[in-house]
Amino acid sequence: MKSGLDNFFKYIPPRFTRLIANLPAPLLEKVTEIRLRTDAPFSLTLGCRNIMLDSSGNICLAKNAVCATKSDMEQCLSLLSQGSLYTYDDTIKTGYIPIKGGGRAGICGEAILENGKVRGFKEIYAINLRLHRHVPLFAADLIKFYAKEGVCGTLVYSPPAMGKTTFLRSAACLLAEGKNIRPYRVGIVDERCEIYIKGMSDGLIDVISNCPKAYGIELLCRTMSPEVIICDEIGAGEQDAVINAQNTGVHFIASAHGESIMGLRRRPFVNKMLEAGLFEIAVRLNADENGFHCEIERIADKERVVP
Amino acid sequence: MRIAGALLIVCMCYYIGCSLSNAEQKAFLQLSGLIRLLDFMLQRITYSRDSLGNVFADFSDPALEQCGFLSTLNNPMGEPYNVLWNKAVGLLAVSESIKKELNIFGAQLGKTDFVTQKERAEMCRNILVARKNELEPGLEKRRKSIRALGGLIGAMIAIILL
Repeated sequence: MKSGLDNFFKYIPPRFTRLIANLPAPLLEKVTEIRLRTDAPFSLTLGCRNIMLDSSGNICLAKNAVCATKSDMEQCLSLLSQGSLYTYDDTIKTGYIPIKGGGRAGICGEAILENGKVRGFKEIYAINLRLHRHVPLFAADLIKFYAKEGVCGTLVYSPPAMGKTTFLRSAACLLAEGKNIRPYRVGIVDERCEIYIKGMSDGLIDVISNCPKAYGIELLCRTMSPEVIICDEIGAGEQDAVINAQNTGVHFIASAHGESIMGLRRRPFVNKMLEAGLFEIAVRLNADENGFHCEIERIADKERVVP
Repeated sequence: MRIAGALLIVCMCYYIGCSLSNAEQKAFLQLSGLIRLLDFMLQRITYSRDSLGNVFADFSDPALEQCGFLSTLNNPMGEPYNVLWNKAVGLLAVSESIKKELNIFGAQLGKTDFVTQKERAEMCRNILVARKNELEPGLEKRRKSIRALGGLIGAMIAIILL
């Protein structure tokens, strides 16, 4: 597993990078998120575990943890935006700043509203730097399944931060490179610039990034004739574009937040896609102390619920 | 000997007058350069949302380069642009009132959303343009007057000393 932590050090105020750099290497490899909060504990997420650090860099309880100040947050924002916050206006409205070279920084704070929509943030209270990980064989089981049963619509689900994006990235690479399967033309609709990392694959991948998913799906279908389209965190408003594209014969691999298929079905837009037969199989991701795991299940086998 | 001394005094005073006149010209060219920079910035941030680093790197103006204004902005060394801008403004030969306006604009440089950033740049540009329009018509006359005044003061000192 490649850790992109070094790439993140230049976006964090130096006093925090020093604390992180002092951690033992096995812990560093597991870091998936770095969180700064104004006047609240600075913390790291390691899979399903959260740790806080004291001023000497030792793991400690929240009450002894180092806290970020308002000026730390401003410095971090300035580093993230290369001193030009206005360039990320569109993404800040949706709560994040993409990080050059992979990853994103989620932000939250006091929002400024205009006509009922978020125009920006008056003050940022928390920044969550999410690391991109590239685990080349994470989706190997799914590719084995495809090799046996054929490529089909796949819904990847799990609660947040369980590796959905990493799984999609791996699936994209394995399919596009033709590892244990014939090479497929893969289209990635990367609305938040999260899935695709430059140079991650030398396979048949076409990417449209920083573009609304519904539009990106339509555009890819029209211009690149992909065999498989991969997109992250499918949401309400995109189901029609996905269903339309599926009717053109493209297979979808998409992800959604959820604990179970039953839970997902309670979300009307997911249920609509499931009812349309868009997804034949689901991949459930989970994490424990030993790392991330995936389970493949057939959606038709699952009990249906009335939303 | 006396005449040579008197000539020397007149020349020196005239030279001081020329320097002051050139400083006036320099301040005016810097003001024009700043207006061009703000125009360039507005164009680049409006149409391609370029970062300030790219904007400053791609901009060129002899007056702003000569005084070190642009090189300060092009070498951030980890400092935010609002701090760099105020440092760079300190290197300019423009009047204090213009520096004050520039510092007000620089205080939030790179720290606001697009609409606010654009509004601030436009406002600063308009103030600088108004100031330039005030200064421009009389500039050459003023420069000549300063040079002539330098020579005249030199002559007066020489006459008194003679």
